[in-house]
Amino acid sequence: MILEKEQSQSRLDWLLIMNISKLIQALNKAKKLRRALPFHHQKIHGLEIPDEEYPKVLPIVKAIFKSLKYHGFDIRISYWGEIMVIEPHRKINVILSLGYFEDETKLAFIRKQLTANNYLDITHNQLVLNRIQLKFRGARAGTKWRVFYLDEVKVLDEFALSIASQIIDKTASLTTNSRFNFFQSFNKVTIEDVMAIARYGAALYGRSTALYFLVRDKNISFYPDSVIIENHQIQLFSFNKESYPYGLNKKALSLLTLLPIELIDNKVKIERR
Amino acid sequence: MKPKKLYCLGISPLYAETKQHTLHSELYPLPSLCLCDFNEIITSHITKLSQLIIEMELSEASVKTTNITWFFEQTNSYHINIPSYINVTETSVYFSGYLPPYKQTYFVTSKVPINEVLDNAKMFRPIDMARLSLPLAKGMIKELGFRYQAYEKANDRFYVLDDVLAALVKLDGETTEALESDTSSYLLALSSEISSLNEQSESIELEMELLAKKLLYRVFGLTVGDWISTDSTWRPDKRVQLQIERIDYYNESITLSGPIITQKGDIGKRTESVQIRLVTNNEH
Repeated sequence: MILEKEQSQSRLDWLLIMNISKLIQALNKAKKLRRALPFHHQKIHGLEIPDEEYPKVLPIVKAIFKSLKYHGFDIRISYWGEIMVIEPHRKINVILSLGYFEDETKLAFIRKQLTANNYLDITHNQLVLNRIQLKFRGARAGTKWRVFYLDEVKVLDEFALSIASQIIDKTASLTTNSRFNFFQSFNKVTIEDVMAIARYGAALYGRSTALYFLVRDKNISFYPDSVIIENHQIQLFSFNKESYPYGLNKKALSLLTLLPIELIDNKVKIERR
Repeated sequence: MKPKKLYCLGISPLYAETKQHTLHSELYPLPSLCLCDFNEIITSHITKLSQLIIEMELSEASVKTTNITWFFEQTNSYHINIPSYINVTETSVYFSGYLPPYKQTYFVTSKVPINEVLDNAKMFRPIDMARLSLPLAKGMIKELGFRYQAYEKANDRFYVLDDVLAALVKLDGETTEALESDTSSYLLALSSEISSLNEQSESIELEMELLAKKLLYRVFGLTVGDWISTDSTWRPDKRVQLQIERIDYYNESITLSGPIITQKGDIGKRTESVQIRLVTNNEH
């Protein structure tokens, strides 16, 4: 059984000293990588809005960050742009997300009806369309999203302050220790990340990179055991240690280096976790 | 702000790589829901396109739009900036789109009947018989008449030749002696002529159908899918309400047929038809 404590994240100390402008910069930087998110198998939270709406939303995010910092919260931002907030008193991780979401139960109802019909009149289902929402939840199993509508916000500073106190309130019922750390791969490069970038690259550049053939290789696409990137070559290993090498041209390499992989002697190995 | 008419449509992939069928969904991320509010912008697009279809005799027309929202399961949110197209056919409307790194549409929604989404579609349209005396109508009726004559000619010849062919085939089948070379060559020539006649009459039929559709639109302003309410052709003192589904031309008259419309204003199960005589016989 995995009993990984939150201490494992203390390796990311450099993130703790980030100031607010650095945090906003990190969100802006993650924009490029977030385009590959539809190709990722895991659900990754964060700012789920199109690029054009960043200028509109970032001031709000900045105000919220400010009030959180004022209350002593730690804020961490992964390279995918996930926002993790750490509550100051009991060190409980909270995931913050922003975008065009929908109530899960309403969606489940519609999905169920769509299996019997080709189309539905859902005028009376009262869905929230075209409204940006901010939501947070404890980074645990079975916690519920708390949703706020940004267009209902009148005074931004008050709203930002209320978010901080709400987070403290809502996490009060959670225990400090959890058996599983659900976000243990937070800010760590996984094989799935590499595969997601490869799928995105295949979609973006088509047959002009070898990524197109890599993601269509039946032997490895299910789940490679480890990945080695070195000298314009990506090598994927299956569970029985058979290797499947593919060449990387400039386009593919520049895409893959969007991930924070450190090439030591032009080589990096990513293991399965 | 309450949406006026919000619909949700199912989605299926437009183009599938057959070899890698299991990988398809991860290489081509599909949205799970398509939400469209049929507001004025969308309905004006639909009416414009459907008019274009009738006037230019197209089978389908599409235009790019931004008012459609797609829900993606993977990111668990609505994507509002997906490039999407409204596709309009004669009777239905559907949407298609693609996720930005791709450059071609690769998913389509299921089809929605146009009548369902347009408000003014559920009104009975009048048939103004006086408009048949317009010069435009007269020209088209004449053209239809010529086509019909050609069709009749081809058909008459077809049926007579068919009898001859049947007799020759019978001769071949029921006698033990082999056919003479002349007779067998006749048989070959006959069957080839019959097939060419068949093709000819089918193409004329299609032309007549298109022409009748054009006439109905130009003269009466009616198209497939419209609701009409007139006196029954065959039973006096009876009113017929139907949705036009088929338009047939036969011997100087147009037959409109389709499902009936019930008292409640729904589309019923039985089909009815009415006949419009294009040429009046009482010449004073």
